[in-house]
Amino acid sequence: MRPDQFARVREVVAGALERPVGQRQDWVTDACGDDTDLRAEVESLLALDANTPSLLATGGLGGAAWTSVLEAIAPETPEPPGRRIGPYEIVAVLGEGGMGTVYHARQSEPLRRDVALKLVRRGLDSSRIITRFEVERRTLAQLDHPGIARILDAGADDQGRPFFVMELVRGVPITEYSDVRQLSVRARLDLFLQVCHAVSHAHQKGVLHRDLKPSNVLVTEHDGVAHPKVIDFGVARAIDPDSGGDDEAPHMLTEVGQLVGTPEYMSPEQSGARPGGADTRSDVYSLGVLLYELLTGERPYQLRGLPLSEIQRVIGTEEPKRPSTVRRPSSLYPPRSRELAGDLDTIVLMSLRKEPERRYQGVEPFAADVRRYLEGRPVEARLDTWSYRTAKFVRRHRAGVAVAATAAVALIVFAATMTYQRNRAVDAERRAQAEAETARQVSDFLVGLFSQANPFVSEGRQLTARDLLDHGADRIQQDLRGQPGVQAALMITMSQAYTGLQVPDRAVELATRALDRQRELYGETHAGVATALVALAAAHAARSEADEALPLYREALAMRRALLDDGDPAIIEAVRLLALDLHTLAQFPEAEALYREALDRTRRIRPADHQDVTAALQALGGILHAQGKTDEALTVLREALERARSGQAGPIMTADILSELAVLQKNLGRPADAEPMYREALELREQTFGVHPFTAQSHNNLSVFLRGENRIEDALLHARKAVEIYRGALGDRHRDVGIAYSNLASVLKSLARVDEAEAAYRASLGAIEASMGREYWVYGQVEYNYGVLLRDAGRFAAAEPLIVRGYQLLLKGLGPANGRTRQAAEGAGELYERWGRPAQAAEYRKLASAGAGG
Amino acid sequence: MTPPAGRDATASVATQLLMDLRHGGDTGAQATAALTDLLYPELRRIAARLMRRERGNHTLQPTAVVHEAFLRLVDERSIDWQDRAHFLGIGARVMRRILIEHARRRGTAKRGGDAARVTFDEALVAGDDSSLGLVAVDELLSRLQAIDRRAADVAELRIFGGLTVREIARELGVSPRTVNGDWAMARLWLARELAH
Repeated sequence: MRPDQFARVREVVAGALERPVGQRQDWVTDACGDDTDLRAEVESLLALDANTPSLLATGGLGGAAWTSVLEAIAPETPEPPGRRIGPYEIVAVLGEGGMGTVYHARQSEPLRRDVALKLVRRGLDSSRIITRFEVERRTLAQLDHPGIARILDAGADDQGRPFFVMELVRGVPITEYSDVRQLSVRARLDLFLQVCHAVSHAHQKGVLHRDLKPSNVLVTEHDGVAHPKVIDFGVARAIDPDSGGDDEAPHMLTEVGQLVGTPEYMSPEQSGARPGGADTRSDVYSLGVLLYELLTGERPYQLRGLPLSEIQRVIGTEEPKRPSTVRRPSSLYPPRSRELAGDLDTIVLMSLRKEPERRYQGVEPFAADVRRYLEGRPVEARLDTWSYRTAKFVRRHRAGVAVAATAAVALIVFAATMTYQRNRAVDAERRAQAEAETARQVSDFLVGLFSQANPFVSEGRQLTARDLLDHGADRIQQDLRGQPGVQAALMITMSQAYTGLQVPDRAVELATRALDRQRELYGETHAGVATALVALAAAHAARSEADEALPLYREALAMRRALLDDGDPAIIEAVRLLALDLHTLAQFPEAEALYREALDRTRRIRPADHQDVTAALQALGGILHAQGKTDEALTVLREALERARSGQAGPIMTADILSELAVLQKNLGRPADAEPMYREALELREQTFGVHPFTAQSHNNLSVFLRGENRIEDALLHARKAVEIYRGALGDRHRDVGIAYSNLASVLKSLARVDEAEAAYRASLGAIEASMGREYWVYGQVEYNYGVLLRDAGRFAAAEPLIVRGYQLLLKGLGPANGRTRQAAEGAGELYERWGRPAQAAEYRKLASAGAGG
Repeated sequence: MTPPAGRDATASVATQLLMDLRHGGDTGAQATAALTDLLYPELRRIAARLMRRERGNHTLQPTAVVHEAFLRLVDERSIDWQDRAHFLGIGARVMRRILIEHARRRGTAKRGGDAARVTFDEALVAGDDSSLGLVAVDELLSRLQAIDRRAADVAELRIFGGLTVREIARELGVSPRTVNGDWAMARLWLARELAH
């Protein structure tokens, strides 16, 4: 099975295990849709959890260590009626939950009574659970309330599995009861208030429930009067492996794969979506969900079918719909939405807030507000304020805002620098004033920028860093009309941010305008002009226009060399970027010289353990590698990796270094060294960037590697992933999309899927032509590869022009001695030989060996 | 708290290594390697002793071996929960290696291979057949690693190290929730493949 298929299986299985046995089939049917393979796989796994005989009995394998391994993975089987657990005898299964099975059991001594017995699944640390239960036992014994089912006993069975014994309640879940009895809103609220009363009683005794949900609130009827009873008090805490003695947030997790509690009813702090431990306000939250469901028939979040991480995200960040706007799924006795609108909406939403400190601070105030509503008095709950939601927006979109914030910091620093330069001749006091003024302008601008990110404006859609930038770019024009200097500086920074976000068109546009503005203000030669030139060049480079970027970088570097102190880091920046551009254009010797200069300069002005030195080493290693100077490349890159391992590089750079080293090790014929590096680099990039061209690059590299290792299926997976991410991030007209397609084609070729490979090659050539034209060696390389596909399929006439032209482009771009060029000559020779044209074959073979000699 | 009897120079070395692990980077990698080397003979000794004491009446829990090593070798006053997870994690990997080496050696010996190459306390594993089972589990874990590396890691730490969900989460740097999902999946998958 492929990892991606397996991941899907894992999701569905995990989802099923979180549900009681009775609901699993529905879930699987739902989640698998018409994917029969998936479904078969899932069901074969789940079958093991439900009813197969114990593995211990199969196979007849003995042995001590082996037995304990088997025990660890063996499935649970329900206890048969008649079996004794301590002084209790099993009568029947009542139900199954995430943490174990609940039985109807009978006690004969010291008194005869029917009880509910919950047997916790294997795999939990039973002595810890029981110890913890004993600690709370005294407290639990004090719970004496008609609305709370009493906990009677706890212990461990002969296999060491903990069990809990409770008062047996023969009732139905509160939601079901209300629907069957067709209760009005008012009657439902009355019932709910009784539940609040019981929970509040427990809170006063210092006991949290931690797992409130309809199936734990059972309603029985005596003489036509409904009595809700809360069951399972104290059980969740005892079972939660993380409660007590731990400094971290206790998540409601068992050790066997389930959350204690149904995710829908769990507060953000319990689900791990927010830091902080459970307290009475967590129970308030769960009661809020219960009330929501009681009133609308729906839960605030539809978590069904979502992968696990997504559940946490939803609980932690999404706002529930107002109860009055929920359209009921069935027509069963819907309370009228008019009744819910207004105060009732407000009450429910207040209990469901993400932050405990903003909910009702206890069950009592919550119940009091419900009572006020029932009595027609004003309630105390208030809707969220706007300023609060804006603050929350910034927190919630931390990643996006972080990009904007990076831009913001850069803006302030940049604006201050600019002010300083402008005022070099002015006396200190006026300079300070000017700086303060610029800072104020920048800050006002940023405040405006974030106000634009008002979450109400973008209803229903998540604002991205891109949106923030777009707002900002628009507002630069309007708000800073009278401040051309500040305006230009901000445009440069925005352009850099767009480049970083891979939106090069806007980046070019802004940088071009900024460059014009700077030239108007400061003339042709000025540090500010150089900065705009660099930004514009970088934007072009991001648009795969390395040749457009080249003269801009050269001009900027010359300007900085002339204007700035020799030790100025801005010179290094320009040297480095020019080198990178030359590297892209395959002008390796000049690029190498510049990278060496950058490394020297960096070492001169930075401490020995500075990250910049690591970065310079990494860049130099890359260019050495590109020229086939493998020994020196290996030395340099190893030094870089060593530095990264000791903290002298962040995850992004570490991934770059690993990536380069991996390719190098592969080229040196050391696949075992290469593979972990490829994978670590991919992992780091997935973590740091998510869906991003850098992540795609790692997929691409890994795919090429795996193909070399003849692990073609794996290679195909990563190749497709690379194409998918690149296209999503860059569109169809980008060089890197072209390269990814070409590699995908090669994988398909290895699988003899010629038609698909051909289509991929065409897509590749299209993307490369659209981004770089047809004259670069990259285009030639893909043409050559395409030609080889056709040649090997026996289509010699169609292959010839592709192979020949490909060779010529490689020769022109990389020179006769380059490995790619020689390989292409060799490939052309093979074409002619198989085509029966020995003279031409010999000619190309000669070119290939001549290249090797020279 | 007085250190339990039998704690010796090895113990202070182990505790020191655990503290080195906190530094990560090269120091951490070296510490991991050193701890692995140190644990290998130690775990074998403990396993052999436990087996002798229990005379095969009781199952030998690989996890019990690892945990006993922890108690014997580490001064709990000097370390924190992260160190404990690291220790148990390394212990789990070593324990797996020990069990599998032994099982393979027995298998090799039966096929007439070179039995002298790996020395091992014969008392460690009781039944012959267990060797086959352990080798199967080992191979399955390697296979699982290719499809879902993290799930395989979780299973290894759980089966051979007896780490709790929370400890595994710390060791692997993921959420307990993720560990739970991985373990549920790995458990079922292993059970199914073994049943084949």
